[in-house]
Amino acid sequence: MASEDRGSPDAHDDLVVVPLRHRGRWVGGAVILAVVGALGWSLAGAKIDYAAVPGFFTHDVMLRGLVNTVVLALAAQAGAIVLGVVIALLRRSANPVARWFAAGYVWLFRGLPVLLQILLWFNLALVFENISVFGLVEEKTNVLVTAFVAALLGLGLNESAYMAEIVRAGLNSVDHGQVEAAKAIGMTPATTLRRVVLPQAMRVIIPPTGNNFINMLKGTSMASVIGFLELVHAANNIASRNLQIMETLLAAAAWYMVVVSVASVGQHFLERHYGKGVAR
Amino acid sequence: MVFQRFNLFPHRTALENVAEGPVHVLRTPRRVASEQARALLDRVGLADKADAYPHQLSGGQQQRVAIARALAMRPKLMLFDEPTSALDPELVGEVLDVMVDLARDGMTMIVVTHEIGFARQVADSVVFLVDGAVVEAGPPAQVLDNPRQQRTQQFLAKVL
Repeated sequence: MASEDRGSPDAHDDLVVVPLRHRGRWVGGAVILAVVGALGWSLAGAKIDYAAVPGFFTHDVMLRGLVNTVVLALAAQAGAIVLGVVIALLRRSANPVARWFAAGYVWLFRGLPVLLQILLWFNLALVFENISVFGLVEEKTNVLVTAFVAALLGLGLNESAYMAEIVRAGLNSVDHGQVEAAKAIGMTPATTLRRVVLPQAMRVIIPPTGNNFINMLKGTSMASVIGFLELVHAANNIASRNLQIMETLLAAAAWYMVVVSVASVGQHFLERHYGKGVAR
Repeated sequence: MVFQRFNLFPHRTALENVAEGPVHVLRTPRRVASEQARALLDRVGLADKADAYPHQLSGGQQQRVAIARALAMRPKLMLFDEPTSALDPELVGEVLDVMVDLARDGMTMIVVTHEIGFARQVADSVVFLVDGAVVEAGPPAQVLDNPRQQRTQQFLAKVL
């Protein structure tokens, strides 16, 4: 046993252990801190009345804008998820007409800019004075397509095209053996989708959906163009009275950061729920 | 039906896997189905693994859960598609033991297998197939111990 002492800790008592030096890191860190510090210094000295921002943050109009932003984003995303699942299923259908329709749908609604789609819906009254459902119900287009409805259609339909692709990727990620196993215990295709395939596809569907929802929250700002009172429009409204444009925009910006942060936390918990049964 | 690669539902526990068919196909009340599922897991020797997810189980345990899941539908006939060929050699025995028990209880089973010893012990009738065509069929004592076809003889000489 004692024939070798090279491994003994006493053999190198005369050597001093020095941690590896990382001079480049110190330099890099110092440069970054200097740049951030300079930016902060100039912002602090800018002609912005920071003391006014909290007041705009809790301003009545701003809070109404906040509620409208959240409601519009949630409604558009919810509709987009339902439509997206339907389009994804059509895309995987054995019926070629259904497949072509789904592909065309995604091509169209993904291809046009959201702002343009919102404007198209908002101006629908120019080409269709009335909207009727098989002559049963009829209503003036101007009454039906409000700013909210136009924004909902523009944002929701565009998002549904993206959701269709996300859901399709999720469905494709589930092993076909799962469908065979469900069939073997007598499940109908609908139950198989609901109980076996979709819950497993969710693991793949949720991260990009959370990403898209955060985009959706910010995308609602485009509805300000057609006069829908969301956060940006609210900021503009308040600013039009006191000309504190930067201050009101900063208050709206703060709300976006709050809402997006909440959505990120929600996504984290959803991912944990649907991660059940996956080895880590 | 029992699969070569188990195909358990990975997002459900062993108990939920077994109760899934009764609850969502046979419309058995969940409480009754859970009790039955627990009894079936006990029958395949996995009463203590009821709350484990498939990824926490060994291959042999997963396959036994899969057998319990198939039994939960009270089948008249069971199909096994190479139920032990994806398993570590040491785990093959525990799955075959469960199937021997089933055979003893009178379950009708069609089993695709390369486990010749198991087939000899359990089967009433053995069919030897090559490329999807029947080469030889009959009781195991004849097909496995005194094969008439040269192809059967070749195969048995290699695997035994």
